[in-house]
Amino acid sequence: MIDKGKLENLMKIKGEAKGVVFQTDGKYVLEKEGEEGFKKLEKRVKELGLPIDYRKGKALDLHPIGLRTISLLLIKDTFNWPDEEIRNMGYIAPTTSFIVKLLMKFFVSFMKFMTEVPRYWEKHYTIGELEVVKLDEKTKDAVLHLKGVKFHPLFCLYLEGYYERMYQFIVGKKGECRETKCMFKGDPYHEYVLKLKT
Amino acid sequence: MSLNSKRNNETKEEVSRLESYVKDFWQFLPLPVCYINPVNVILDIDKVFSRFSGYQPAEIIGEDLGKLFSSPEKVEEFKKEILEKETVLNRELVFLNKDKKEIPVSISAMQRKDEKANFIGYFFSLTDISESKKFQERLKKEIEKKTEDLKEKIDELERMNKIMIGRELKMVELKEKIQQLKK
Repeated sequence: MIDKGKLENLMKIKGEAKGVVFQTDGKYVLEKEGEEGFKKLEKRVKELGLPIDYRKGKALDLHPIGLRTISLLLIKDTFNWPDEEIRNMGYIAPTTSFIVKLLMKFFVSFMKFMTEVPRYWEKHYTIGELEVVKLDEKTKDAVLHLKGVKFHPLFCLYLEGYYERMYQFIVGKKGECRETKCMFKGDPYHEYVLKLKT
Repeated sequence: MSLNSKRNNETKEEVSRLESYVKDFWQFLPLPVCYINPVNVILDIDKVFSRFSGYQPAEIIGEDLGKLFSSPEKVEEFKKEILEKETVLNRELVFLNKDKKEIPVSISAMQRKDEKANFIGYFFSLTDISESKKFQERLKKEIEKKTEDLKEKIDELERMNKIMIGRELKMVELKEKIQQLKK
Protein backbone atom coordinates (compact mmCIF):
# COMPACT_ATOMS: atom_id res chain seq x y z
CA MET A 1 0.00 0.00 0.00
CA ILE A 2 1.10 3.55 -0.65
CA ASP A 3 1.97 5.48 2.47
CA LYS A 4 0.39 8.96 2.48
CA GLY A 5 3.33 10.41 4.38
CA LYS A 6 5.66 9.22 1.62
CA LEU A 7 3.49 10.90 -0.98
CA GLU A 8 3.50 14.14 0.98
CA ASN A 9 7.30 14.04 1.16
CA LEU A 10 7.53 13.48 -2.58
CA MET A 11 5.21 16.43 -3.18
CA LYS A 12 7.62 18.64 -1.23
CA ILE A 13 10.38 18.16 -3.83
CA LYS A 14 10.93 21.40 -5.69
CA GLY A 15 10.72 21.38 -9.45
CA GLU A 16 8.29 20.49 -12.17
CA ALA A 17 7.67 17.78 -14.75
CA LYS A 18 5.93 18.09 -18.12
CA GLY A 19 2.52 16.46 -18.54
CA VAL A 20 3.90 14.22 -21.29
CA VAL A 21 5.24 11.82 -18.64
CA PHE A 22 1.70 11.15 -17.39
CA GLN A 23 0.43 10.76 -20.94
CA THR A 24 2.96 8.00 -21.61
CA ASP A 25 2.22 6.33 -18.24
CA GLY A 26 -1.51 6.39 -19.04
CA LYS A 27 -1.03 4.97 -22.54
CA TYR A 28 1.04 2.09 -21.14
CA VAL A 29 -1.55 1.25 -18.50
CA LEU A 30 -4.34 1.39 -21.07
CA GLU A 31 -2.40 -0.96 -23.33
CA LYS A 32 -1.55 -3.41 -20.55
CA GLU A 33 -4.67 -3.32 -18.38
CA GLY A 34 -7.38 -2.12 -20.79
CA GLU A 35 -10.05 0.49 -20.11
CA GLU A 36 -11.11 -1.22 -16.88
CA GLY A 37 -7.60 -1.08 -15.45
CA PHE A 38 -7.20 2.49 -16.62
CA LYS A 39 -10.39 3.50 -14.76
CA LYS A 40 -9.10 1.71 -11.67
CA LEU A 41 -5.98 3.86 -11.77
CA GLU A 42 -8.00 7.04 -12.31
CA LYS A 43 -10.16 6.12 -9.32
CA ARG A 44 -7.10 5.78 -7.10
CA VAL A 45 -5.72 9.11 -8.31
CA LYS A 46 -9.06 10.71 -7.45
CA GLU A 47 -9.22 9.07 -4.02
CA LEU A 48 -5.77 10.40 -3.19
CA GLY A 49 -6.70 13.84 -4.50
CA LEU A 50 -3.78 13.94 -6.92
CA PRO A 51 -3.77 16.45 -9.80
CA ILE A 52 -2.93 13.91 -12.50
CA ASP A 53 -5.12 13.65 -15.60
CA TYR A 54 -3.86 10.67 -17.59
CA ARG A 55 -6.64 11.07 -20.14
CA LYS A 56 -6.84 14.78 -20.98
CA GLY A 57 -3.65 16.24 -19.54
CA LYS A 58 -1.57 18.30 -21.96
CA ALA A 59 1.95 17.22 -22.86
CA LEU A 60 3.63 20.52 -22.10
CA ASP A 61 1.76 21.57 -18.95
CA LEU A 62 3.91 21.69 -15.84
CA HIS A 63 3.17 19.58 -12.75
CA PRO A 64 4.89 19.26 -9.37
CA ILE A 65 7.84 16.94 -9.97
CA GLY A 66 6.88 14.68 -7.06
CA LEU A 67 3.94 13.49 -9.13
CA ARG A 68 6.38 11.84 -11.55
CA THR A 69 7.46 9.32 -8.91
CA ILE A 70 4.00 9.13 -7.35
CA SER A 71 2.54 8.10 -10.70
CA LEU A 72 5.04 5.23 -11.01
CA LEU A 73 4.48 4.09 -7.42
CA LEU A 74 0.73 4.27 -7.79
CA ILE A 75 0.71 2.28 -11.03
CA LYS A 76 3.00 -0.38 -9.57
CA ASP A 77 0.85 -0.60 -6.45
CA THR A 78 -2.51 -0.62 -8.26
CA PHE A 79 -1.61 -3.48 -10.57
CA ASN A 80 0.91 -5.20 -8.32
CA TRP A 81 3.49 -5.02 -11.10
CA PRO A 82 7.08 -6.17 -10.57
CA ASP A 83 9.85 -3.56 -10.91
CA GLU A 84 10.71 -4.95 -14.34
CA GLU A 85 7.30 -3.83 -15.63
CA ILE A 86 8.13 -0.25 -14.64
CA ARG A 87 11.42 -0.54 -16.53
CA ASN A 88 9.45 -1.74 -19.54
CA MET A 89 7.09 1.21 -19.10
CA GLY A 90 10.15 3.45 -19.50
CA TYR A 91 11.28 1.40 -22.49
CA ILE A 92 7.93 1.87 -24.23
CA ALA A 93 7.46 5.56 -23.30
CA PRO A 94 9.55 7.07 -26.17
CA THR A 95 7.37 5.24 -28.70
CA THR A 96 4.25 7.11 -27.57
CA SER A 97 5.73 10.39 -26.34
CA PHE A 98 4.56 13.65 -27.85
CA ILE A 99 7.87 15.26 -26.90
CA VAL A 100 9.68 12.73 -29.08
CA LYS A 101 7.51 13.90 -31.99
CA LEU A 102 8.32 17.51 -31.21
CA LEU A 103 12.03 16.79 -31.06
CA MET A 104 12.34 14.54 -34.11
CA LYS A 105 15.21 16.70 -35.32
CA PHE A 106 17.34 15.44 -32.41
CA PHE A 107 17.07 11.83 -33.54
CA VAL A 108 19.16 12.08 -36.67
CA SER A 109 22.37 10.46 -35.53
CA PHE A 110 24.19 9.14 -32.47
CA MET A 111 26.48 12.18 -32.20
CA LYS A 112 23.77 14.75 -32.86
CA PHE A 113 21.46 13.28 -30.23
CA MET A 114 24.18 12.98 -27.62
CA THR A 115 25.06 16.64 -27.99
CA GLU A 116 21.40 17.50 -27.43
CA VAL A 117 20.95 15.23 -24.39
CA PRO A 118 21.02 18.04 -21.78
CA ARG A 119 18.31 19.92 -23.68
CA TYR A 120 16.29 16.74 -24.01
CA TRP A 121 16.20 16.38 -20.23
CA GLU A 122 15.19 20.04 -19.83
CA LYS A 123 12.24 19.45 -22.13
CA HIS A 124 10.82 17.08 -19.50
CA TYR A 125 11.98 18.34 -16.10
CA THR A 126 12.85 21.73 -14.61
CA ILE A 127 15.37 20.33 -12.11
CA GLY A 128 18.32 18.03 -12.51
CA GLU A 129 21.00 17.91 -15.13
CA LEU A 130 21.73 15.22 -17.65
CA GLU A 131 25.12 15.23 -19.28
CA VAL A 132 27.17 13.04 -21.57
CA VAL A 133 30.53 12.21 -20.03
CA LYS A 134 31.78 9.63 -22.51
CA LEU A 135 31.05 9.20 -26.16
CA ASP A 136 32.56 6.92 -28.78
CA GLU A 137 31.24 7.35 -32.29
CA LYS A 138 32.91 4.17 -33.53
CA THR A 139 31.70 1.74 -30.87
CA LYS A 140 28.56 3.79 -30.08
CA ASP A 141 29.34 3.56 -26.37
CA ALA A 142 28.02 6.40 -24.24
CA VAL A 143 27.92 7.25 -20.56
CA LEU A 144 25.37 9.66 -19.10
CA HIS A 145 25.40 11.32 -15.70
CA LEU A 146 22.20 12.51 -14.10
CA LYS A 147 22.78 14.99 -11.29
CA GLY A 148 20.57 16.75 -8.79
CA VAL A 149 17.70 14.27 -9.00
CA LYS A 150 17.00 11.85 -6.17
CA PHE A 151 13.36 10.83 -6.34
CA HIS A 152 13.02 7.06 -5.94
CA PRO A 153 14.91 3.93 -7.13
CA LEU A 154 11.87 3.02 -9.22
CA PHE A 155 12.39 6.19 -11.25
CA CYS A 156 16.03 5.15 -11.83
CA LEU A 157 14.78 1.87 -13.26
CA TYR A 158 12.19 3.66 -15.40
CA LEU A 159 14.94 5.90 -16.83
CA GLU A 160 17.13 2.87 -17.55
CA GLY A 161 14.40 1.49 -19.81
CA TYR A 162 13.71 4.92 -21.32
CA TYR A 163 17.34 5.56 -22.26
CA GLU A 164 17.69 2.07 -23.70
CA ARG A 165 14.89 2.76 -26.19
CA MET A 166 16.14 6.26 -27.03
CA TYR A 167 19.58 4.80 -27.69
CA GLN A 168 18.07 2.31 -30.15
CA PHE A 169 16.32 5.18 -31.95
CA ILE A 170 19.64 6.79 -32.77
CA VAL A 171 21.89 3.80 -33.41
CA GLY A 172 19.27 1.83 -35.37
CA LYS A 173 20.27 -1.40 -33.59
CA LYS A 174 19.49 -3.22 -30.38
CA GLY A 175 21.24 -1.63 -27.46
CA GLU A 176 21.30 -1.88 -23.71
CA CYS A 177 21.39 0.55 -20.84
CA ARG A 178 22.48 -0.12 -17.27
CA GLU A 179 22.55 2.19 -14.28
CA THR A 180 26.05 1.62 -12.89
CA LYS A 181 26.04 4.36 -10.23
CA CYS A 182 23.10 5.54 -8.21
CA MET A 183 22.51 8.32 -5.69
CA PHE A 184 20.47 5.83 -3.66
CA LYS A 185 23.67 3.75 -3.28
CA GLY A 186 25.70 6.71 -2.07
CA ASP A 187 27.09 7.85 -5.42
CA PRO A 188 27.15 11.58 -6.18
CA TYR A 189 25.11 11.08 -9.37
CA HIS A 190 23.29 8.45 -11.38
CA GLU A 191 25.38 6.90 -14.14
CA TYR A 192 23.84 5.21 -17.16
CA VAL A 193 26.05 3.18 -19.49
CA LEU A 194 24.77 2.68 -23.02
CA LYS A 195 26.21 0.19 -25.49
CA LEU A 196 25.28 -1.96 -28.45
CA LYS A 197 23.97 -5.41 -27.62
CA THR A 198 26.49 -8.08 -28.48
CA MET B 1 -0.02 39.39 -14.74
CA SER B 2 3.34 40.45 -16.20
CA LEU B 3 3.87 40.71 -19.93
CA ASN B 4 6.29 37.78 -19.86
CA SER B 5 3.92 35.48 -18.05
CA LYS B 6 1.08 36.54 -20.39
CA ARG B 7 3.28 35.66 -23.38
CA ASN B 8 4.23 32.35 -21.77
CA ASN B 9 0.58 31.48 -21.29
CA GLU B 10 -0.22 32.39 -24.89
CA THR B 11 2.66 30.23 -26.14
CA LYS B 12 1.49 27.33 -23.96
CA GLU B 13 -2.02 27.65 -25.37
CA GLU B 14 -0.70 27.73 -28.93
CA VAL B 15 1.47 24.67 -28.35
CA SER B 16 -1.47 22.93 -26.75
CA ARG B 17 -3.63 23.67 -29.81
CA LEU B 18 -0.82 22.44 -32.03
CA GLU B 19 -0.56 19.23 -30.00
CA SER B 20 -4.27 18.63 -30.42
CA TYR B 21 -4.07 19.40 -34.16
CA VAL B 22 -1.14 17.02 -34.69
CA LYS B 23 -2.92 14.28 -32.73
CA ASP B 24 -6.18 14.72 -34.71
CA PHE B 25 -4.36 14.91 -38.02
CA TRP B 26 -2.45 11.67 -37.41
CA GLN B 27 -5.65 9.96 -36.36
CA PHE B 28 -7.52 11.18 -39.41
CA LEU B 29 -4.98 10.19 -42.08
CA PRO B 30 -6.64 7.49 -44.21
CA LEU B 31 -3.30 6.12 -45.42
CA PRO B 32 -0.65 4.05 -43.64
CA VAL B 33 1.96 6.70 -42.86
CA CYS B 34 5.12 6.64 -40.77
CA TYR B 35 8.04 8.87 -39.97
CA ILE B 36 11.59 7.61 -40.48
CA ASN B 37 14.83 9.14 -39.21
CA PRO B 38 18.09 9.30 -41.21
CA VAL B 39 19.34 6.00 -39.76
CA ASN B 40 16.20 4.32 -41.12
CA VAL B 41 14.52 3.89 -37.75
CA ILE B 42 10.75 4.22 -37.55
CA LEU B 43 9.93 7.02 -35.11
CA ASP B 44 6.19 7.39 -35.53
CA ILE B 45 3.26 5.64 -37.18
CA ASP B 46 -0.41 6.50 -37.62
CA LYS B 47 -3.32 4.26 -36.64
CA VAL B 48 -3.89 3.06 -40.20
CA PHE B 49 -0.25 1.96 -40.43
CA SER B 50 -0.70 0.04 -37.19
CA ARG B 51 -3.81 -1.73 -38.57
CA PHE B 52 -2.21 -2.37 -41.94
CA SER B 53 1.02 -3.80 -40.55
CA GLY B 54 -0.50 -5.60 -37.56
CA TYR B 55 2.08 -3.99 -35.25
CA GLN B 56 1.24 -1.88 -32.21
CA PRO B 57 3.23 1.39 -32.14
CA ALA B 58 5.35 0.14 -29.23
CA GLU B 59 6.30 -2.97 -31.22
CA ILE B 60 7.46 -1.24 -34.37
CA ILE B 61 8.60 2.26 -33.36
CA GLY B 62 12.36 2.12 -32.93
CA GLU B 63 12.75 -0.73 -35.45
CA ASP B 64 14.56 -0.59 -38.77
CA LEU B 65 12.32 0.13 -41.77
CA GLY B 66 13.98 -2.75 -43.67
CA LYS B 67 12.25 -5.20 -41.31
CA LEU B 68 8.97 -4.38 -43.01
CA PHE B 69 9.95 -5.38 -46.53
CA SER B 70 10.80 -8.65 -48.26
CA SER B 71 13.95 -7.17 -49.84
CA PRO B 72 15.81 -4.84 -47.46
CA GLU B 73 18.31 -4.05 -50.23
CA LYS B 74 15.49 -2.34 -52.18
CA VAL B 75 14.74 -0.30 -49.07
CA GLU B 76 18.40 0.76 -49.03
CA GLU B 77 18.09 1.87 -52.66
CA PHE B 78 14.96 3.78 -51.76
CA LYS B 79 16.74 5.43 -48.85
CA LYS B 80 19.53 6.60 -51.17
CA GLU B 81 16.94 7.99 -53.53
CA ILE B 82 15.14 9.97 -50.82
CA LEU B 83 18.48 11.43 -49.72
CA GLU B 84 18.99 12.79 -53.22
CA LYS B 85 15.46 13.91 -54.01
CA GLU B 86 12.98 15.83 -51.90
CA THR B 87 10.11 13.61 -52.90
CA VAL B 88 9.95 10.08 -54.21
CA LEU B 89 6.66 8.81 -55.61
CA ASN B 90 5.18 5.42 -56.39
CA ARG B 91 7.97 2.91 -56.03
CA GLU B 92 6.75 -0.69 -55.87
CA LEU B 93 7.94 -2.94 -53.04
CA VAL B 94 6.68 -6.00 -51.19
CA PHE B 95 5.58 -5.25 -47.62
CA LEU B 96 5.78 -7.87 -44.85
CA ASN B 97 3.14 -7.55 -42.18
CA LYS B 98 3.46 -8.93 -38.64
CA ASP B 99 2.24 -12.35 -39.83
CA LYS B 100 4.89 -12.24 -42.57
CA LYS B 101 2.21 -12.00 -45.24
CA GLU B 102 3.57 -10.42 -48.41
CA ILE B 103 1.58 -7.41 -49.62
CA PRO B 104 2.52 -5.53 -52.81
CA VAL B 105 2.62 -1.81 -52.05
CA SER B 106 3.38 1.44 -53.74
CA ILE B 107 5.50 3.69 -51.55
CA SER B 108 6.05 7.42 -51.54
CA ALA B 109 8.16 9.62 -49.31
CA MET B 110 8.91 13.25 -48.59
CA GLN B 111 12.05 14.62 -46.97
CA ARG B 112 12.02 16.74 -43.83
CA LYS B 113 14.70 19.31 -43.14
CA ASP B 114 15.53 21.41 -40.12
CA GLU B 115 15.82 25.19 -40.11
CA LYS B 116 19.40 24.89 -41.43
CA ALA B 117 18.24 22.67 -44.30
CA ASN B 118 19.82 19.53 -42.82
CA PHE B 119 18.08 16.28 -43.65
CA ILE B 120 16.33 15.10 -40.49
CA GLY B 121 14.17 12.25 -41.79
CA TYR B 122 11.24 11.56 -44.05
CA PHE B 123 7.53 10.86 -44.10
CA PHE B 124 6.75 7.56 -45.70
CA SER B 125 3.38 6.38 -47.00
CA LEU B 126 2.12 3.09 -48.40
CA THR B 127 -0.69 2.18 -50.75
CA ASP B 128 -1.87 -1.39 -50.90
CA ILE B 129 -1.78 -2.37 -54.57
CA SER B 130 -2.75 -6.03 -54.07
CA GLU B 131 -6.05 -5.58 -55.93
CA SER B 132 -4.55 -3.70 -58.85
CA LYS B 133 -1.73 -6.29 -58.96
CA LYS B 134 -4.32 -9.11 -59.04
CA PHE B 135 -6.21 -7.24 -61.76
CA GLN B 136 -2.97 -6.76 -63.70
CA GLU B 137 -2.20 -10.46 -63.28
CA ARG B 138 -5.69 -11.42 -64.49
CA LEU B 139 -5.38 -9.01 -67.39
CA LYS B 140 -1.96 -10.42 -68.27
CA LYS B 141 -3.32 -13.99 -68.21
CA GLU B 142 -6.30 -12.97 -70.33
CA ILE B 143 -4.05 -11.25 -72.84
CA GLU B 144 -1.81 -14.32 -72.92
CA LYS B 145 -4.82 -16.56 -73.50
CA LYS B 146 -6.21 -14.28 -76.21
CA THR B 147 -2.77 -14.13 -77.83
CA GLU B 148 -2.59 -17.93 -77.72
CA ASP B 149 -6.07 -18.22 -79.27
CA LEU B 150 -5.11 -15.70 -81.90
CA LYS B 151 -1.91 -17.57 -82.63
CA GLU B 152 -3.88 -20.80 -83.09
CA LYS B 153 -6.27 -19.03 -85.45
CA ILE B 154 -3.34 -17.58 -87.40
CA ASP B 155 -1.73 -21.03 -87.58
CA GLU B 156 -5.01 -22.45 -88.81
CA LEU B 157 -5.33 -19.68 -91.36
CA GLU B 158 -1.77 -20.26 -92.49
CA ARG B 159 -2.50 -23.99 -92.85
CA MET B 160 -5.65 -23.17 -94.83
CA ASN B 161 -3.69 -20.70 -96.88
CA LYS B 162 -1.07 -23.29 -97.67
CA ILE B 163 -3.76 -25.79 -98.70
CA MET B 164 -5.44 -23.13 -100.84
CA ILE B 165 -2.18 -22.12 -102.44
CA GLY B 166 -1.35 -25.77 -103.05
CA ARG B 167 -4.77 -26.23 -104.60
CA GLU B 168 -4.31 -23.13 -106.74
CA LEU B 169 -0.92 -24.33 -107.89
CA LYS B 170 -2.37 -27.74 -108.72
CA MET B 171 -5.12 -26.04 -110.74
CA VAL B 172 -2.58 -23.99 -112.65
CA GLU B 173 -0.58 -27.15 -113.30
CA LEU B 174 -3.68 -29.00 -114.48
CA LYS B 175 -4.70 -26.07 -116.69
CA GLU B 176 -1.27 -26.10 -118.27
CA LYS B 177 -1.52 -29.86 -118.87
CA ILE B 178 -4.97 -29.37 -120.48
CA GLN B 179 -3.50 -26.69 -122.72
CA GLN B 180 -0.67 -28.99 -123.73
CA LEU B 181 -3.06 -31.84 -124.45
CA LYS B 182 -5.24 -29.51 -126.55
CA LYS B 183 -2.22 -28.63 -128.63
